[in-house]
Amino acid sequence: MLIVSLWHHMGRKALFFFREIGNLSILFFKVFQSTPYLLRHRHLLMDQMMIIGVQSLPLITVVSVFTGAVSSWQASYQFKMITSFSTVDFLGAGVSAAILIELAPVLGGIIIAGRSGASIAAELGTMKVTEQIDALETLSIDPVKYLAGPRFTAGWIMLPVLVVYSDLISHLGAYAVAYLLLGISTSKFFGSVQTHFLIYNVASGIIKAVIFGGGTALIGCSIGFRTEGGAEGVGFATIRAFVYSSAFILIMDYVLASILF
Amino acid sequence: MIEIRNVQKEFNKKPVLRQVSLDIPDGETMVVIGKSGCGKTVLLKSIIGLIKPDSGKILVDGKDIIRMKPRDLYAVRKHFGMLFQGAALFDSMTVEENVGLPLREHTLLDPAAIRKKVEEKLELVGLTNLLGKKPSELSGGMKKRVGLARALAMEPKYMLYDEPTTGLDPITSDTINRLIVQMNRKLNMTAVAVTHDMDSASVIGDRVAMLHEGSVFFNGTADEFFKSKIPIVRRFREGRLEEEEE
Repeated sequence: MLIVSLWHHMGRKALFFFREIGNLSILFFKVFQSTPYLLRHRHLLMDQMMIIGVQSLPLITVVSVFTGAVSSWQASYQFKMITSFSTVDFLGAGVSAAILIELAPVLGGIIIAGRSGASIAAELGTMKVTEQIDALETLSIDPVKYLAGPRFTAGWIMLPVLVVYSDLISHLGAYAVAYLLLGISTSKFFGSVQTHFLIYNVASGIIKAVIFGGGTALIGCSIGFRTEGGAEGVGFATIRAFVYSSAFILIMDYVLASILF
Repeated sequence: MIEIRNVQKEFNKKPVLRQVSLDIPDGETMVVIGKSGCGKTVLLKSIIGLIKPDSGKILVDGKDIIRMKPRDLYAVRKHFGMLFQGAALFDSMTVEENVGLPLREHTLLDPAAIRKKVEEKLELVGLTNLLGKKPSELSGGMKKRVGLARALAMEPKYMLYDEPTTGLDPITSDTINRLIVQMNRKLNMTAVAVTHDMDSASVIGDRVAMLHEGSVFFNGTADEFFKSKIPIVRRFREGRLEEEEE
């Protein structure tokens, strides 16, 4: 009996998962079709680029400085644990690769998932439960074109920009710790970064950011459009958007890492 | 003309509309009344294609909107205006942006011409000097009027009103009712209004249809409705739970 019940539960969850994937795929297709509309209504895109990109800069700055700083400190500690050689020549290179490949895109993605993905779901969810989405429909305005298109496009354009910015700021954070606390000179630190620098690492971070940014915005829109149940429903939608986006980022990070490296 | 033919709709296997058929001739205002949850709003939203019935036909100027492609449906909707129960104004926009949105989207008017049209529509509903206000700064009655101005922006042929006076005080309700009558006559619109406010029904309705358990229980002129001696109609009209002995 327990096994039957377990199978039943798993079956329902599997159906739910595939339905969500289906909803996202349909929305992606519709958003893609709405590109010509977006080209005619560039102000909608600009507004979202401001919200998702420019307004995220302060948070990205703080997180990036400390991500770089802690990476430098932890790398130094771990190098000391595993080798008796001097870490001076490798610290910059090691920290830089970690920032470019993993830390900046993944942490940037999680920040956008928390700040923008959840906010998109809450905003569109509120519009849904207060009939504002229906009002758009009655005014002959397609909500997918008007609301989802600009958010999705701003997501995949702005996260890579934020990631490149985060790459720079994180390097400065790492350098500050290396120079002030670990006694590594500027030339040693950046010399190490430069010697082992690969443009491919930067490109892979940008590719990840495009997928994380677009995916996060799309998940927020999809959940927002299907919100039901008043204020409580909006609360659940916000949580779901963050949880799904975070899971998407971490899973896709692994998938992309196995493809790109 | 709007023709509703044998429309059925279920939610979670619970029938909400059962074989509903109604005709709304051009230039008339049909008031749809009935208890809460009897399917009035579902019917109204079906007329504009926000809800897709399971079966039946909804003909607008002879075209069945249920089987229309989305692009054609959006074209038909340009002939409709809808006033929502809670006005459904866009929170992030000012009054001017709310009323001007359909004009910005569907016309080639320049910003000055749009502003002029917005002012005209707001004046029509008795509002001035509110262009820069956000919906959160407006009273319930003002929101309804702005919602009405927005619905009128494209000068629609058909107008749908969802509980136009719900949540308003009697004086504001009366103002909204008179405004609706004035608009419908002035612009010669065909209208469907969903309400359970009898005062509203008596002021704005040319015809009244009563929904009961998902079906059309009564369909006649407003005069016939208010004189009807059918027990269910009388009880609803007088707001009584059971027929009292006389």
